[in-house]
Parts: sequence; structure tokens; C-alpha cells
Amino acid sequence: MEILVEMRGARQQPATIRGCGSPSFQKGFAMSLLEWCQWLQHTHFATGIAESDWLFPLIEGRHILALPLSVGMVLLLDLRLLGLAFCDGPAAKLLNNLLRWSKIGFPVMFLTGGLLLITQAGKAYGNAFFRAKLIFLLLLWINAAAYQILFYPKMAQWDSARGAPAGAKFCAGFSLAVWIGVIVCGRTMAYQF
Amino acid sequence: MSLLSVFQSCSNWAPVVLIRDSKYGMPAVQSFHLMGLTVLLTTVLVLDLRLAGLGRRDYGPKNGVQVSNEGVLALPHWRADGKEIFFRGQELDSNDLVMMAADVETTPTFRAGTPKVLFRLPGPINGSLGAVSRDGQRFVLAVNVPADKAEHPPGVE
Repeated sequence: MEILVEMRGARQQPATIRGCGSPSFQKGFAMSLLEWCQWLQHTHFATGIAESDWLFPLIEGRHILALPLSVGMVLLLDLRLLGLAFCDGPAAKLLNNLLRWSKIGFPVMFLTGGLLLITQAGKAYGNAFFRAKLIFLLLLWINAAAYQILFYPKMAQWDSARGAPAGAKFCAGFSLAVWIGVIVCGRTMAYQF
Repeated sequence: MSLLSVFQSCSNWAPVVLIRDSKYGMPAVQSFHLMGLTVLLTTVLVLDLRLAGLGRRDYGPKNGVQVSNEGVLALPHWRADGKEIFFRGQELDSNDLVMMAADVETTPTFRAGTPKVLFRLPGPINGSLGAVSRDGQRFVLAVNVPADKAEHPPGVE
């Protein structure tokens, strides 16, 4: 089996990968990562999902259905911290209740997202929207970690007495905006393949 | 006009054609659709979970946290900043009034420190009425006083 691969930044000299064995790491990290993505996309497991009449739509459906359990729960908390919704109760109680469900939603989201990704890994590698989505997810992780460290331990002090501090509101607004970016990038990248 | 012809005329409508033929038109519309779906499904999900009794944690007796193992007679009271609770401890022998306090944390979960004695009033004191100021520095208590030892304010006998 012979696969012709056109490398990004090396369009004049298309590389040839023989077979679908383990990738070579002799051409630098970026190239080997692309080779690895190509190899992943052509594994029996990935092609099995991609070529199945019902498996790919089923996984994609689970991915979308997990949105309310993951991103939706985060959006509700963001709106509460911004003082736009659910202001009649303490944010800490809402956070604890929502966190229980997002602990189910996010693993489903990442698992199904990973399965969808491997079927298009080679194409996703060079896609600007996919890269933007990964950067957004990294920023969201940093944002969530900052909230957990800086504001979560002191929630009891500001929760019932007054509104969320400016820093917590910034985290919420940032999360809201970037999650919208993740959804837009995720949807748009599919049209680039 | 048949339903098919309505659909066909819709799909040939200029704005629809513009969106369909644009590189970013369809992704943009689908993104808004997905965001709307997320908000709608989340709202419905939260309501359904709440109605099913699954959307909130029950802090009833099954999930209660024991603060004292020496008994509480009366006046459990939370300081305004939520960091300390007060209660009247039980002194079975003398029936003294023993005011207890315990440091607490509410996040990430409720945790209580070891209760300590704040002050004692010699008994027997059987009253259970009282209140604590918001900062936890002042206490007002209703106690029984023998008539011959009572100091009456003017106008009260």
C-alpha cells in the first residue's frame, strides 16, 4: 500500500510514506506529528469508524448531545457569576450541583471528540480552525485552573454577601466568549476538510 | 402550490443561496444553531433533573456532618461571614450554660473544627432562648432569675 502525502511547508517535495507502519521521527517533530496523524487516520480502527454507515453519525450525535452536560453547565455557571441568571441562590451551591453533571459530560465529550478526530487526523493537523480550537481549549483549562486556585476557595466570603469579585466575573466572561469560539471553530473546521 | 415547490423556492431564495455558496456562511449558521441547541437542551436538562430530584444534593440527615459529639441543647447559630457556628452545649450534671463555638469551612465541602468552650454561666439555667450578634462577639440569652434576686428596671415588677 502506498500513500502520497503532501506536507505543509514542503509542497514542492511531496513525501511518500510506505505502508501504515510506525512513523519516522527523523524529519523533525512537526513532520513526524503529521506522519503520526496520517498513520492514525489510516488505522483499521479509524477507517472502520469513518466508513461505517451508523458508527460515525452515532459518535457525532453523542458528541453533540454531551454539549448540554458539559459546555452547557459551564455556561450556566458563567451566567451566574456574571449576575445574569440564577441570582436567587448561592453560586457555590449551583457550582457543586452543575459540577456533578459536567464530570459526566466532559469525559463523554472528549472521548467522542477524540474518536471523531482520529478519522480525520491527517486533515485536522493543518487546519487553522482545529488549531484555534485546541488553543481555545488550552486557554479554557488555564482559566478554569485560575478560578479554582484564586476564587473557588474564597467563595463563601463573597457568595452570599455581595456579587462575585471582578476577577471571578472576568473568568466567567472569558469562559463564555472562548466556549463560543470553540463551538464556532469546531463547526467550521468540518467544512474545511 | 405543493409542499415540494415551497421547499424548492425556499432553497432557491437569494439569501439562502448566498449562505449555501459562501465559504463561511453555512458554518456560521450551524454554529449559531449549535449554540442555540446547547442553551435550549441545557435549560430543559436542568429543569428535568430538578423535577426528577436529581439536580440538587440533599443535605438532609443522611448527608449531615456531625459537629459535636457531646450534645447540643439550643441556639445553633451561624456567624454572618459563615466561618464559625455557635451552640449551647450540654452540661448534664450542673445544668450550667456552656456556650460552644466551632470553626467551619463551607467550600469546597462543609468541614467543622473541634468545638471549644466560649464561656460558662453557672446553672441551673433552663432557658433555651437567645441570639448572637452578626460578628459573633455579643450574646443575648433569656435565663430564669429567682424573684428575690431580680433587679427590676423602673416600671417593671
